[in-house]
Amino acid sequence: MFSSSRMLGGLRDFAFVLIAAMTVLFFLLRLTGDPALVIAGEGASPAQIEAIRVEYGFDRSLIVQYGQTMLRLLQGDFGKSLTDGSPALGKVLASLPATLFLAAMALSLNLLISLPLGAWLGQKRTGAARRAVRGVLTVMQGFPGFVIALLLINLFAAGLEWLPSIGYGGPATWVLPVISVVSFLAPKLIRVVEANTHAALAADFVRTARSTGASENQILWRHVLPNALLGAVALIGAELAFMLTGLVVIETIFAWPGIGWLLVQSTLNLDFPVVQAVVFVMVVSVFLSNAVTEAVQALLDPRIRGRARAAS
Amino acid sequence: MRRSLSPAIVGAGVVGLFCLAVMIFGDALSGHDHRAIDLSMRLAAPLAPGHLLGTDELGRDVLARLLNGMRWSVGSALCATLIAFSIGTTFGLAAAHKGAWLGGALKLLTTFTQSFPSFVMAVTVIALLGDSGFWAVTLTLGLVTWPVFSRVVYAEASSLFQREYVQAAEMTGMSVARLYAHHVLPALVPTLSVLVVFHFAEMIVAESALSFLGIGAPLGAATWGAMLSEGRAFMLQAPWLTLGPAFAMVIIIVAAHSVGQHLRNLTR
Repeated sequence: MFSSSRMLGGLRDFAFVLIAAMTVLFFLLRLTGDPALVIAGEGASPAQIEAIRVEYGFDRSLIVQYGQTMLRLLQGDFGKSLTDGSPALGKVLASLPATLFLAAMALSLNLLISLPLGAWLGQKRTGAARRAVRGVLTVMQGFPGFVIALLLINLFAAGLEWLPSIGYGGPATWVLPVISVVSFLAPKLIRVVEANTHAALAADFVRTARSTGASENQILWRHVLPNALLGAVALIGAELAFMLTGLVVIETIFAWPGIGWLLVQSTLNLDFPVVQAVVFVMVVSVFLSNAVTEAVQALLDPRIRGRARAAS
Repeated sequence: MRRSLSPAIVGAGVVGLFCLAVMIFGDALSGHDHRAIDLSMRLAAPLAPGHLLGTDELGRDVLARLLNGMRWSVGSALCATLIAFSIGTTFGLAAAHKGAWLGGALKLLTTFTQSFPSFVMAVTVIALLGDSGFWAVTLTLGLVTWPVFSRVVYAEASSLFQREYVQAAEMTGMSVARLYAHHVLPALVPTLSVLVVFHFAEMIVAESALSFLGIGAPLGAATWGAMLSEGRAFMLQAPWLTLGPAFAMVIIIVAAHSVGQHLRNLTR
């Protein structure tokens, strides 16, 4: 399905992004503070700090340190967390399931709501019900995800005490985080499905189908919706990639122990190895999610398949 | 093309004028100093005498703090947008005009920003700098988000350089500066103006999210994000502490979105 040249290009970009991200991080970390001071902690004597400097190789030139760090990363060695001494990468991988779980649930609910609602809105421009829904969506687009999260906690956890406000446990703790993410992502997807449905209804192939005597239902299910979905795949992919990295604030609000939460904790603690490992895992997940999105697009759309073949 | 003014755009205009007034006068508009502590008036509900939107746990006027936060958030978002716009547009334009290697660099940069989200970058940079202040936040936000502009400008300007009228102008020996001023920049105005407005809304959210996490504004500053974070402890007794900044933020964002939407409709 994929031509080899496209795959090679993708891998080259991926390698570039990883190297660039790690390089940027390395120099940021080294230029903004003395890591030896952080490791030694408060109240360490100058001799102790000097010993740490030698032990970790901070006394060598920046370029040598950079080379060493990159070599170590190449071997998959991210070092140990400065706060508890456990392997940095292991720490990140342990918190990845929580993020993936939240993303999977939010994605499913998002699709369940957005696809039918978007298709319904796209069928007609007029009508009081449709206009009301559009108005609600416009206002909802003004609510940042973390503000929705706070308002939901305010209402359901603090006010009504129906649901736990924070934590990662049974189904009751999933409700508010998932709703926060979905109410933030769904309006965008609904608007795109709506626009695509509307455009597909006006397309030539629908006119042709209608002229052959197809019923309105057949036209909607067989001709309009598949095309509307196709246009939405790119956004769904982008939203998935966003959830793998962008839930930093929502995870922090709900004390949801995913990689976004870990990023905030480790940056605030100046736990450099963990920061590095979190960013590494985020870049890899975004790359994988983009690759899956492209594969799905190619699977669904014969035109993209044709283009890939022509390019090879 | 519709020329009539919708209620949404009139509302956005009112919000804009209000922003301007707050930028100039700040918390003086509320009649209180946002730092003034009054322990006899702790957690007063909205509409309490002298305190339209109530007070917080130290008896500070919520409206005054909201206005101060507005000055901070709107000012930071405006400057960050301006920085991102200036760098992004310059880079995009330079790359579009026979800049083969710049164009390649831009493509790599786009790939980079797509996999290393700018918000994550901002969190990391500001937290590691350990320096929280207006310019640390604003500069970081501007410097990590400018590829948004360069990507769009590069794409549009490159296609303009393929157009016959631009090529014809180039062939008559028009200088590059004049070429840009007469044919390229005017054609970019519609797209750019929409982009600027939406970017501003995004910067408001990003700045507030950063101060909410405690990595943006300095400790104790009255910004929307910090107010939301502090208000969480009093959600049950004093919901107005979180509702105030939440709705202030939503009003600004909805206003920016409707301006963007309006500009988009105008140019279609």
